[in-house]
Amino acid sequence: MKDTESPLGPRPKLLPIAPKAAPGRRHLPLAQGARPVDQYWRPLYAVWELTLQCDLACRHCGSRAGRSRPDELDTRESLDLVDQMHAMGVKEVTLIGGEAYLRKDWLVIAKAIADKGMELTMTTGGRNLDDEKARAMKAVGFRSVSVSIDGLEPMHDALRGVKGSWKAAFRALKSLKAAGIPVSVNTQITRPGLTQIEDTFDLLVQAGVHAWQVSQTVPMGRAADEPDLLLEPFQVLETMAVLYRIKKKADAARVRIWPGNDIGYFGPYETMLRGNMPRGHMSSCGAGRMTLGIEANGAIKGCPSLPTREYTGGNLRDETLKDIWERSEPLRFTRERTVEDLWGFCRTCYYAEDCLAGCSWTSHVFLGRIGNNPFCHHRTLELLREGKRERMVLKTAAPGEPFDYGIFEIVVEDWPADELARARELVATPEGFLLHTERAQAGIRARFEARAQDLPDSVDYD
Amino acid sequence: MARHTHIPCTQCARHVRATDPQCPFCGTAITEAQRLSVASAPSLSHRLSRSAMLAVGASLTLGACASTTSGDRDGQVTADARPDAMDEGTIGALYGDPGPAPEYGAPPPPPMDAGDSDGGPAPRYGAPPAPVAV
Ligand code: SF4
Repeated sequence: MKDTESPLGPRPKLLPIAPKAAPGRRHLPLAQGARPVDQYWRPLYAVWELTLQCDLACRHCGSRAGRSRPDELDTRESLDLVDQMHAMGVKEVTLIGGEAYLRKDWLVIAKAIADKGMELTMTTGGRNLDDEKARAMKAVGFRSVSVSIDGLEPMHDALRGVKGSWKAAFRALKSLKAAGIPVSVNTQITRPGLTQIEDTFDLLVQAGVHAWQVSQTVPMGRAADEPDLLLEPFQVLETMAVLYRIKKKADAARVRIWPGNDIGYFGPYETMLRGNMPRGHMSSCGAGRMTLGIEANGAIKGCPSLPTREYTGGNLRDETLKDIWERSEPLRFTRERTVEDLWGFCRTCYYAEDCLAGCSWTSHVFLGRIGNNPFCHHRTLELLREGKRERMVLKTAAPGEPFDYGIFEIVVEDWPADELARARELVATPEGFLLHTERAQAGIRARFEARAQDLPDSVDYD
Repeated sequence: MARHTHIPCTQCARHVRATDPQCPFCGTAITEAQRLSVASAPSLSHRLSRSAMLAVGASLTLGACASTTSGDRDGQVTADARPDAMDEGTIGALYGDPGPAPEYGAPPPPPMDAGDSDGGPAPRYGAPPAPVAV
């Protein structure tokens, strides 16, 4: 991207913004029986896409949300799923979308989850989450709600595709707090948004959040259409420096930092960021071991983020949740992985046996398969030692379905001389950004502000 | 799946295998005291909710901080988590602990008694654990 180009110009014209999703795949094969390891792991945390319908038009939306799926579970089927999750030992359910509150029976389903004693949370864009909804949410038992906020107002609105989204998100935080629901925020780091994250975090502290979940935008769904939104692997150096700085503020403000599994790994800030987790550092991908992903049509995955095509283990209309969990290959893939399954840099890494290439989602949507992850702090530091860095180059565009992805290749190259010195300084201090990022910022901000003027006030997909 | 116990290096903060004599990144020696404190860390059950797991993890970390260590506790799991067929005590060591933060999820709620409006708990500073139902 040239410094003078807009990082968020007009949307790519090739693909529809919100395609009508194809019906879920049915009657997928299951293994004859469950192995001990399949019965050992139990879904502790379920993330449930209640509907694909959405009132935003986010340019980085991994599920290309907007319209409902043609075959979403009805109320009876949804309540049956709640019973099955409870029987399986699920302890926490996060409702997502699309936008979960656009489903007419969402509070009925939410109440059933809470009534079973499972912790009930939600992630929302908050566009239409007003006082009345917040009070209703409190009444049915929401324990915490996370609102998605990706930057300062013009940037957030431009990313979310609807004017007023940023103000609405902060209004939602206020409504939720007024109703007595603890609030947190989810933030995706994009390339143009990286330098705004600290200023954004300051606003979140003022808004009284108890936790902040941070992840990076990866090329799934609509984000796959816009490579300019994506960080380069070498920018992990910047991301981690930003998180280091934010963690200091967060500790002072008593806000818990909750890095997504795609953030890391094993650099000098690992203990600071993940020292409160059971192993004191990141562990490998939890898909299908603790985490369960549910699509609105009953498709079951080991993690909500994973691509639908390759990682759907079965459909609730065909099999029980227990059978899909225990006997479908796509949910088993993390249960017996070894270093033999890794490739590229990760294969010979010092941390390979414990990390197993980190986030499967990140690897798969960039490279078309898991087992090698260039978005890694340790790896970036090791390459920096040799004066090298990695970049991603798009080779094949995404086809335009929910949860689809393009294919990228890793290019290993020398750091430009001036950036190499800056990168080493950034690691040592850790203050500031890389030179390219610093130079690009003024232009980026100006263009976001201009872009935010042209946005629609609402979206109507039908 | 072989799993290593890691100890943060006291000099450069990188994680080092507890079996290594020194940090491969900066050469600082790993002391016997560091190794011992990791080996004696208590167990965690993967059947805890995320907020409970974090709350317990936080108290462990706080304890570990005193000796500047942190460690791998997944070699032991609670009996209720294990099907009868499993080999006592080995499955956790074989399969490790779950990764608790899918990107499409949300941060876990604060512990029940943390209140709604004080910004929530900061586990590194020893917030009380959430009510736990295992
Ligand atoms: S290089 Fe790969 S295996 Fe090693 S820590 Fe990074 S992501 Fe994990």
